Amino acid sequence: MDNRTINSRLAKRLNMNTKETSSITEQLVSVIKDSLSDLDKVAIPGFGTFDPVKEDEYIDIIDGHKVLMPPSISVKFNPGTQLKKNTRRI
Amino acid sequence: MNKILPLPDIAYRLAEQCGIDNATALEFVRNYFEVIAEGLAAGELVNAKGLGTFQYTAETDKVVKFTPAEDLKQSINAPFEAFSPLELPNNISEDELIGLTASVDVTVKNISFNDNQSVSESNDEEPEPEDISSSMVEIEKQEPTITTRDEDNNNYHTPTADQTPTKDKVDEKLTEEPETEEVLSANNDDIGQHSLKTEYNPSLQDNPEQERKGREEMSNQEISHEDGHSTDDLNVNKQSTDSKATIHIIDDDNEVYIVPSARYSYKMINAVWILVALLIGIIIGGICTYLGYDKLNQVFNNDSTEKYEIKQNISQPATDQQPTNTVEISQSSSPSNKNKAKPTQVEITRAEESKMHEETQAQPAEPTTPQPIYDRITSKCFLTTMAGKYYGEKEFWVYIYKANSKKLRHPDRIKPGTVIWVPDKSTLPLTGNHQADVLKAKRLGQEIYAQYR
Repeated sequence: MDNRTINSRLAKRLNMNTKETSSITEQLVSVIKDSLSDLDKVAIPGFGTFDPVKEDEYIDIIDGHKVLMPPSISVKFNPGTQLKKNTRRI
Repeated sequence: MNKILPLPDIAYRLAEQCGIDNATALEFVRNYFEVIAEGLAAGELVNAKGLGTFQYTAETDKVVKFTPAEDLKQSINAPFEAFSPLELPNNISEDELIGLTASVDVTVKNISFNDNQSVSESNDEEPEPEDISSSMVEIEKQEPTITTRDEDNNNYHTPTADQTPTKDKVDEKLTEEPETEEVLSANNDDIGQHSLKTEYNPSLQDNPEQERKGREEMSNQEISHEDGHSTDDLNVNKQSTDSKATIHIIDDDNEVYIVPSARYSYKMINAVWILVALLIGIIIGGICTYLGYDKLNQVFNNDSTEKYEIKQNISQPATDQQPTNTVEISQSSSPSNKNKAKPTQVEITRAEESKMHEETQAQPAEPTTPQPIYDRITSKCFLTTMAGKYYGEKEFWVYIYKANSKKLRHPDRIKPGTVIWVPDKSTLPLTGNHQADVLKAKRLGQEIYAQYR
């Protein structure tokens, strides 16, 4: 299922155009990005939680040289129980 | 930061950005994720543009595997783009590493990144490290800002690039008494602006020992201000360096908070409570002694009533008999004074006789009527005791009770101290037969007790 399919199904459900749904989807993704970059979790009931995890800077040894690696933020997803139940029926 | 953003907040933000109402935004968000869930339930791999891919996996307990999109990774890690991997010299020691990031615990494997720091957006320079000195300089350049706070205004003042302190100025700061407090910028709003502010490390080119000495001097100078503090100052967070203020010393190794005035307040409060308890004890003791004194008086006053009775008894026979009291002043008087003593004796007897006569004349002319006798109930003197004393028979207490029945209730529950009138024995209805009188008195007693059953 790609993005087009998602938009088309959304448009059917909400009686909207695919253009509108795609624009609103982009805005939704940007809202989620902003909150994740602020290290805030995003909780969707019945679906799951997007959890940003900050990895601290550290010193790594690459080819015998010490390199100071920069920090980074990674996004982890914790699925909700409802999603797990529905998905396990496969 | 570290908050959980619920669905209504997401919908609210989406509505603001898109210009739609909250209900529509909320419904959109729900349906969006429902569509993704349907795709997952159908066993499909769902690729949400900008977000990532969701895939069913039987390997882990999570069931759904999420791979964030590259756009998402880049946008989230945009603040750290300027922070590229930096090759360190091989001969760098751990102390120098500590000096590199002074406010951060550095280990070989991991360096803790202070939450108060954020990445500077304006640093477009990305120098390539060629040798040690150049790398050190570059690190210095990458840490340009020091935030200071004025005492008066409590405003954070971030100096511009022109105002970045040079090495000389930094040395002055270390030696002089600090007027303001150097604080790491803890402004969380800067995270959105992506500005990195780390602690200034002036000793990158100097020895780290000098830096430590400088810090010790700073801390010692600040400690010296403690001597003149006042107990009234309870504000721990007061940042002035007045001699009477509480001290808040920021040391890299240890943070010392001194709150001397708070200790005295606890002692004062304890002293006040002790005084209050003493006062209450004194008041209660005074009340108890007053009540006890009254009862003691009642006990001791029984003797005075007995004396009163004796006087009364004495006064009665005085009318019948003439007094023959003679007073012998001194038997051991000398023979020469015998003659003299005699006339005094006679005089005294006559004086007493005259007194007695006066007393008898002062009495009312009612020789026949007996004077009433009053007695008092005590712990040792009951109605039966009085009957035995005045009538010679304890069972005749009923007549005393009847004479005082208006103010008495149960005969066994008379309050000590109650004054009882004891009627004269001649007024009692006695037949002369002692046994019959006693039986009669007992019957009367039973009737009295029957009233209170």
